[in-house]
Amino acid sequence: MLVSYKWLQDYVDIPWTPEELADRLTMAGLEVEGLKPLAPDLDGVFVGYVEETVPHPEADRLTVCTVDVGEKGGYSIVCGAPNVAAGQTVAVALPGAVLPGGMEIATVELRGVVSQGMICSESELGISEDHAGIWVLPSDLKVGEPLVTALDLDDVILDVSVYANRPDCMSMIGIAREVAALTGGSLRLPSVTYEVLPVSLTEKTSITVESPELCPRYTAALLDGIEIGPSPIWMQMRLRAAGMRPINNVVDITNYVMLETGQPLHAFDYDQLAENRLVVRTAKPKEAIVTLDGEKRELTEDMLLICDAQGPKCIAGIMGGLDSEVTERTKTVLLETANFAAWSVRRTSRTLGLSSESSARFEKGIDPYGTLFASERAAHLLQQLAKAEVYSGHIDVSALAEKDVVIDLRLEQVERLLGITVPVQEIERILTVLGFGVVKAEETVWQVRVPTHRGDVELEADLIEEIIRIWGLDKLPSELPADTAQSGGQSVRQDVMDSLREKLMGVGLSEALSYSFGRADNNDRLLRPSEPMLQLQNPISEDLVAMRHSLLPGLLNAVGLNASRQQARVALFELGAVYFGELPLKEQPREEFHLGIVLWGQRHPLNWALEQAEFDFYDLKGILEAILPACVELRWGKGSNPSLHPGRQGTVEYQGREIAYYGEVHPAVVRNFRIPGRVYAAEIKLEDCLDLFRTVPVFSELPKYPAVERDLAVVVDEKQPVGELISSLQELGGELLRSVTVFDVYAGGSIPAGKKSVALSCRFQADRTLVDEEVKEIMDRCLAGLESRFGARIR
Amino acid sequence: MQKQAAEIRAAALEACAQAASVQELNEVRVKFLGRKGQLTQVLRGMGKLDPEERPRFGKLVNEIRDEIEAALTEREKELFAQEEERRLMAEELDISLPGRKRVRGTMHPVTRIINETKGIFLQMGYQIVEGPEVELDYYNFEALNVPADHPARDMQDTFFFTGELLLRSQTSPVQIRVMEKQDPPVRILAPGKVYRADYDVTHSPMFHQIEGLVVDKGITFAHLKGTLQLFAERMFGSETKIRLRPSYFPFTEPSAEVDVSCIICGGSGCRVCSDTGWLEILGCGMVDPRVLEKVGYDPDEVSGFAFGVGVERLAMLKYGINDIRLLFENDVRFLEQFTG
Ligand SMILES: [Zn+2]
Repeated sequence: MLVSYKWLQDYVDIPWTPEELADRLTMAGLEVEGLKPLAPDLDGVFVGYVEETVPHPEADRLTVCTVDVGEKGGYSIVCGAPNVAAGQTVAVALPGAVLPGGMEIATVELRGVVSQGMICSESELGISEDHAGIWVLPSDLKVGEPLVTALDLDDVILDVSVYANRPDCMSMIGIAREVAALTGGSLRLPSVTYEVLPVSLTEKTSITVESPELCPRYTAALLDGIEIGPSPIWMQMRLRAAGMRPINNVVDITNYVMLETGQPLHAFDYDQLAENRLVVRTAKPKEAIVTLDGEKRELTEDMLLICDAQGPKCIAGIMGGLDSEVTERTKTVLLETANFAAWSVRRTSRTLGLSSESSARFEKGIDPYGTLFASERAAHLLQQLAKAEVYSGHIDVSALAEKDVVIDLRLEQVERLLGITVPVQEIERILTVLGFGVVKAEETVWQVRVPTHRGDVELEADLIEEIIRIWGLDKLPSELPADTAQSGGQSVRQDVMDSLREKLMGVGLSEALSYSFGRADNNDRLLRPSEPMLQLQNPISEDLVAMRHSLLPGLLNAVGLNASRQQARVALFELGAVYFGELPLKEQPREEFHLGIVLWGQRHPLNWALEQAEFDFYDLKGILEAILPACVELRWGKGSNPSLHPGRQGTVEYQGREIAYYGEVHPAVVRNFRIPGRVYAAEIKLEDCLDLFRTVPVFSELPKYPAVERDLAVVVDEKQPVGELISSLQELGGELLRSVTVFDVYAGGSIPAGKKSVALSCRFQADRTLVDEEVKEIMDRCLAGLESRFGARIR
Repeated sequence: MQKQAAEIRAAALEACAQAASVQELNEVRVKFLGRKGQLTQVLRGMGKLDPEERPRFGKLVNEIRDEIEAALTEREKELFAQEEERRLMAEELDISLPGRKRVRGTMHPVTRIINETKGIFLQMGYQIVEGPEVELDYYNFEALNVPADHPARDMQDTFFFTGELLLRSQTSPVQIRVMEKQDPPVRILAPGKVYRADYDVTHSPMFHQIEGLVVDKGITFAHLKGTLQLFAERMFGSETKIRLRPSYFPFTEPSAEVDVSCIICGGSGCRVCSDTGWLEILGCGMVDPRVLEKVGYDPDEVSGFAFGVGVERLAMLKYGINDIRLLFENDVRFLEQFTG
């Protein structure tokens, strides 16, 4: 809502500068988002009168004008605008003036003729975008007066943001009422008096409301003998200040009264209405209307229309029809001030993609009791400014139930909710000036009658909000609620996620965050069976449509992006939900938290002291080993995930359930995500193993006797899993063999083709000093076992 | 003989001082103190002296021996130190080379803000809770006093799956889910992802909110203000001021918008705060009695406050990030800036 500082003073005294006013309104819940002068500085621009024009002797398009600028004298000005003519009142920039665009006006010679200034267009003055020709001003302005004074341009416009619950503030009077509450002053309502003809309008027209649920109230007035013309300049300037274009006096007055009262009005050309009457009804099948903007609108049967005896004349509350608009020939006007159901206007406006100042107000829900006042105010102005003769009375079709909202307001409740005592006189003053009826029922209880323009106020709490809003939130003290016995805490899952995050950062991975929705074909891109994902009805893009089944697509996208941006190393993890639901979706889907990991590129950042090498499978496995608790029995097995390299992947099982898969990403998947090189990825289903991460380690006594270490190197088949050698050794070695560690694996060189050498370190430990003979005995047993089971040859 | 002894002493001390290495010093020791050394020779000639002079002379020679011995030890220490110094200087490293790089990963800025906020409120006895992201219309709107066709639904462009199921557009539904299950007192903080159909420099279709809710006997607007003041001080520094501006949310009454004094300029006005000195960081209010009634609480018995913080907004302000989309792009050059 654009609010003119000067216009507002018609309704309330303002003891503050525009800046102060903006601040006060903001702090009362009417946020002022901007503050700007109505017009730029226009020093040196005056009202002039074009006395005479002659064509320029040397140039077809130029006109030499003799301009009277009152006390400033007469000037000869060369003008290039096609619409300049003798007898016009115009805006003249005299030599020395600097126009808003930066143009400096000086006496110049244009093709041999001296020009002592410039006749200006609206755009040259920074008034509007209009640069079609010079701005022709009303003839009643005083010639020679500075333009700023003549047009009252010395004003400031406040851009006020109005919350959805305050449609009453979509009006000058509504804003003024708030200002009065803030200043402690009072509201002045504009004049609504006029003379009436001895004839009632009911003899001339009728209104039929067929859809009272969509049109709770329809008020009509009839005005005759109208003289169409331009509206006075002050009204034009105020409409411009509010962002509307002046058209003619009748249309301007309907717009002006809408801005003033918040009640949209519509003026029908009475003589263009079939049978001179109106019917309010919903559209019939296949009905259409050409609206004021010249567009043909196809209507649907839920849309409310204002029709004459033949067909639609107006889309209720949104826009009028072209064929009943007020024109230069209009003599009689049927004036509508109605109330339409907010939801209906909103739906129709959305469906048609058509909105207006009127629909913006109806959509928020306006005061159904404001129709009569607006109608009378418009009649007053039409009589004053368009010589209208007003038929007596109104037609007022109302389906409104008498609504009288009275709320008990308890002083004790004010204090209980706010935590501060508001003076009783202030409570009464604030509510009264905002239009509430305040009657004291008991010593500390009031009965408060809610005015019809405040449909948002329904409860005691709403009244308390009004009081503190105006009295000032800055007066609230800062206190803390009393301590409770309860101590803070979080869920197991949150604890697990926090600790995993620390571990992952500790092993050099950074946390990523991706969108929870992605492409609908992401399962295909991962080579997974195309299980359908939950899809948004109204996505903002094809890439953000399906709720993810896996964290991998997001992480692979991150790798692709970083690779394309010349990064050498990507080591990321993400903790987040994946979403599984039975389609068609009947109930809330399962949301399961997963951990995803991805590695790509260089293992280390480039550094003189570190060997440069790419990440490999064992980096990934090492990370999993580091973050999964070592003190719990896990099964590390082979995997068969279609997204991963068939020969380079594994799974982790816990209590018989697969909790993780990991490995090199399948090259086809890597290509699908446009990544160069090899990628390693893992995903852990946290939901299935939260307790795993909560396992408490158990201390075991430190050995008192020295351990004995024996190394062992065997040659086995190239394909022989080393894991089987280790578990065999552990079994064969018995309880004295405490650990087996692989410390070298190699092939080639002296090792025969198809074979590899595996070096293992065995550590023996007992609660006594071990003797060489018993260790040797165990080692011999182990070697014999490896030989017979795996054909291992000792080196 | 005494003169001879004095000469040996002088010569030995001189030789000791002149020795340039531990080895030379050993030669000095042998030359003067050895079994065939000069001082030993003098002692052997002691028989020529008067018997009564012998003890005095013996004592003198022993004193000289001790003195030379001490000088030798002293010199040996000096020489050892010099030699070690030389050896160490030969081992000098180029300390201007960078260290062997250790990589510690970084926490996402959104998580950092959430964790920092959690920490502040955990200390105040809040329970950290979560709720589903795919929500029922009832919890996201209806129970929060936003019935169908309410204009407030237009304030948020909600993503839908079906007529009833949607991606929550706010963390407020968690309030309802908690209150439905639990009697007062309630003191919760609910961080999580929320979704709205919006995409530009300051809007992301997915973002994070942190919802706070306190319901108990005697909870006031002043308690809300004090709680948020404390939060702002812990999050942005003890100099931070807050101000409350009246606002509108369907599920709180009264409602307010909370501004903090600009963390860039301290309140004097800059580009970030559009010269106002203030930055809007969250919305809050006293829980609407209709919401309390919907979950079976008695609004005449208990009252409550609620607030909702936009995490990305805080992160952008705190770390000076100028485009929200950077937060979800996962460019490692962005992520790896959030160290420490
Ligand atoms: Zn600032």
